[in-house]
Amino acid sequence: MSESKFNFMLNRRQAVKLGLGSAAMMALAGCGNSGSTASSGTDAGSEGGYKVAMIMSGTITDGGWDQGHYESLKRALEKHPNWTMLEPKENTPDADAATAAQSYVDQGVDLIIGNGNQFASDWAEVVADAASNEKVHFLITNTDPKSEMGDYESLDRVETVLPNFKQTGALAGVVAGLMTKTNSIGFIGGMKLPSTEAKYSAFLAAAKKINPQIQGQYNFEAGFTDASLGTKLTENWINTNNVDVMWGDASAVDNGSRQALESAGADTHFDIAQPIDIAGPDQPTVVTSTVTDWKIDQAMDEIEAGSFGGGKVISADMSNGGISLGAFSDKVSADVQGKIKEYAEQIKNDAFLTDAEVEAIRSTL
Amino acid sequence: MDFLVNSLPTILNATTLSAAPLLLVALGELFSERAGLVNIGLEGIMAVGAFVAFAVGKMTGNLWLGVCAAVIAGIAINMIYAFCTVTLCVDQVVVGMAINILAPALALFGYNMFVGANSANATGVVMERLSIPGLSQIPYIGGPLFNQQLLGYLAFLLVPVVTYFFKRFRSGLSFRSVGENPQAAETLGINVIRIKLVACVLCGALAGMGGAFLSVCMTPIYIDGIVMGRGFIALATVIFGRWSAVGIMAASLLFGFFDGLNVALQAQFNAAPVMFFKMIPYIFTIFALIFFGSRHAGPKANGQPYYRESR
Repeated sequence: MSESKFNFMLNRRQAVKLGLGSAAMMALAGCGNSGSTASSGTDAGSEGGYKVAMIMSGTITDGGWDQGHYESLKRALEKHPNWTMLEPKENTPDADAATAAQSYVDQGVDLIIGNGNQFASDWAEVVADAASNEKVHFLITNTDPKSEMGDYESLDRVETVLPNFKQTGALAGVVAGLMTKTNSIGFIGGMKLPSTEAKYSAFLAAAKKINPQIQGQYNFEAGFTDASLGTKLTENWINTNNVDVMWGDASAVDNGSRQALESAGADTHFDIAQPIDIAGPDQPTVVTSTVTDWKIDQAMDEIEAGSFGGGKVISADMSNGGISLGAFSDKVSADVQGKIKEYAEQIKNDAFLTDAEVEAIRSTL
Repeated sequence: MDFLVNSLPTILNATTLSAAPLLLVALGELFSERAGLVNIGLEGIMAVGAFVAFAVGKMTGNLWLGVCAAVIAGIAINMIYAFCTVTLCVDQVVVGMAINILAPALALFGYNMFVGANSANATGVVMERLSIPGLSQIPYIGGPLFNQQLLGYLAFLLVPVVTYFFKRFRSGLSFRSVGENPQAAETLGINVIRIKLVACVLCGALAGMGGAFLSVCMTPIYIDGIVMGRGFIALATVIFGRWSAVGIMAASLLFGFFDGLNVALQAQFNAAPVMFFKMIPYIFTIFALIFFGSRHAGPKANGQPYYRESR
């Protein structure tokens, strides 16, 4: 008896249906990978205006890094009604970052924003190819052009944004120092970057300035996706080190951390969120948030004035609204809120922490 | 070693929390492999299960409806595998890999449709823990074992059920026969194709449920990449567990223990290279496969396509 190739024979019509079905599924998979959303709802092709596009490694609802950037962009658009936003490019892997940027160059986008320093290494070629295109401008956040864009042929159409990490960390540290009852605080970072170390150093230095007895626990390499790791790490610190206040810099991992704090008691264990303001009834452990605005509005102003470029660094700090504290929950008493505001004013004027105090912590990491 | 004693409750908690989804998925794979089907698409099915459970749980406010929907979604995705491998006799590894690419993309597409720019939809709730009075007070092991979510208890309760099924039930014996020698099983009147399809249904259901565990028990969010290789670890635990439910439970618990140890070490040795600690569960997996991964222990016809009319 001869072997049958299949346990089921397809006729021509069924084969065509199968083929079409497979093609449809592959197309759907492609849509999933691109991560496009119908969020912009804007007329990107309107004449006489400017166009802006954002490329990110996560999603606009990640509750952290990329959502913070997206909200900054929305605020900037409110101030600049003559600008229109193309659909943000979500879930962009490093391998596709240059292609994504090039597609926006081809569409004549005036401002292409890359959410994070990984885009600095991905975009060197795209920026070089677009050097003669006077319309297009590149803004890369969290990037120091001196140390991270050394291989660029020209920075004529490039600027970066750097938040003041000392101020962000100090604000969170002051809140943690005033809220902790156990003198033990924790920090989770997604990746061991200079910015992560700078934030934590300022965080602990500020908390110790409030109360020198305070001890800090940290993890700089938790990644940005494994929420269960955040839960387990925080649970461990609560059990072994009596940590009662956390500050996170790791997007989804911070969600897990908040879950562990809630399990330990939302009235005694607190979280300081970042980089968006999420305090509210559905976040019982969040006492406040350190909020970062990526100053996209300033980049838009410069493009309109023709002064954008040259590898300048836009500083996001407390003086221009780039760094701020979000709303307080009712777990922060009026007295403590008053003290925090007092210290925040000192931080804004660089009169609270010295660089040496921050460096003393950083050198131990 | 004080830190180990202090960290023990957390390590043991992490052990059961990490083991439960692995156990669910690996038991599904056990059904599949016992019927001669190596399904390496578990990672993809888990991703779909995690998303569907999250979305349906969020929409309805009932996490159990979310779990049920994840089971149905897992079965639906695995029917693609069933059609390709059982009906069309396509290479099982190739189909499994295709599912691992397609299914997370489907889940991400669904997530973008569900959440969009509405961040209020991005966070759900987790299942309440159910404490068993008395038993949960036992020092060290009481909390991890007897203060779990219902889905966690279900995972561990399935172990004796599955063991009993394969050892005592006629249909369990049929599964084993199909995995060992499908041609011989067919001559004994066993409908091999039907057994393989049933195995795919059970594998899809349990893998979907394992995925649901991630988004309704572990964390109240869905995120692209939430499965983080657990589907492949579950595959390894089936081999390490020597294709028995009890062995799989032991392997899952051991993996969970090393995962918990990794976290405890990360938490206590801040300045040490964290990546080294993160490797611990995976180094364990590789060693386990080296020492216990003999193919001779598995079903003889595992991974081979079955042609009904061949001899």
